[in-house]
Amino acid sequence: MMALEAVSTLDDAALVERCRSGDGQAWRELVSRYSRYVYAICIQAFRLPREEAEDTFQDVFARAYERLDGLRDGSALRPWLAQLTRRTCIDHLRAAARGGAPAEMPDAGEVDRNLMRIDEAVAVHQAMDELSGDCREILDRFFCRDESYREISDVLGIPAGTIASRISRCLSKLRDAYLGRSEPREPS
Amino acid sequence: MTTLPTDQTLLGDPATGGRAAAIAGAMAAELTRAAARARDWEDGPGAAAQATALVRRMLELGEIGRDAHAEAVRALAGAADPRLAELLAAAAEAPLLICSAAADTALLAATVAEHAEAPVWADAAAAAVLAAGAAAMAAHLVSINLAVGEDDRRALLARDYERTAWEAAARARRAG
Repeated sequence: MMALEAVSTLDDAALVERCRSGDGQAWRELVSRYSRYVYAICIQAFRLPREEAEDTFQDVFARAYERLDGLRDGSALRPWLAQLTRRTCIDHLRAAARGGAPAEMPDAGEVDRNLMRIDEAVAVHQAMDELSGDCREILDRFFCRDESYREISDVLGIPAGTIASRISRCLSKLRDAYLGRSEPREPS
Repeated sequence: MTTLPTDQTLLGDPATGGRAAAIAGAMAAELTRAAARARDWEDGPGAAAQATALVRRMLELGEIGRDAHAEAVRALAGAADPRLAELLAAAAEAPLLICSAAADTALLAATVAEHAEAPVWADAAAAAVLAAGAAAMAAHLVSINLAVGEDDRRALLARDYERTAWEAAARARRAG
């Protein structure tokens, strides 16, 4: 019988294994874990219009479902999905061009740079998930919501004079978590 | 000698007090960032990252404030614009946020000054004083806005931010 471990806590390799064994819940987790990533590649790296990006997004996960057995190392899921998304976007743009639609193939160097930025953003998000709830909240409030030390102090009940130091400590933890997971890995 | 070409200005066109406060605050944050990086201490990289965020925040607010100010001035000059009160209130919002960001910059600079050694300490203290000046400029702009009364929440908040900034600047100067 399948282990009852919550799929959201599985690492990519274990998740891929569960998907290969036909676990529908694991497949839904895989899609949920990487949907924003795939969509970001379609929109930001290939600049597909929203509707076309949604079609491409569906194609990517359909192909991923069919070809998952071909992925030798499940821990390389993310670069494998990136490559699959890249090929699917290019196929989509070529098909659009053949059909007479105005489709401009983006510069390969620019796509690489955008992919690198997206990968970094994903790695930062994943590193954020490893932080305590307090650290996540204080970093989110200062850097994403542009809240002041005073506002953060009022909401979290921490003296305003100590907020800057707390943010610095949380950033230090974030850097450690990020460096711990940012080693490059090739798709298998 | 470095001079500015006559067809260029530091503040852009139109030059406004809010934009000047934002640029002064951003300069203070940039100086804080440099001071935070100058010495190897545990919180240095985090302080530098916060300073970078404050530079970005103040430059954006300077732009937003300039647009809001221009709209309010146009409305004041025109015939009974029904949106006047709303536009004046919007014009007070950016200086208030600049004031808040400048107070944060002064607090951050004071923290950096307390961990720095000469001559970097002097730069961090100067950044705190400059940030306090930027907070004072922005607080003044909030207080003179026609939509803001003396006891208005925004005026009180701005004065509070300004006080915080000057206290931080005094702390930074004592740190040497």
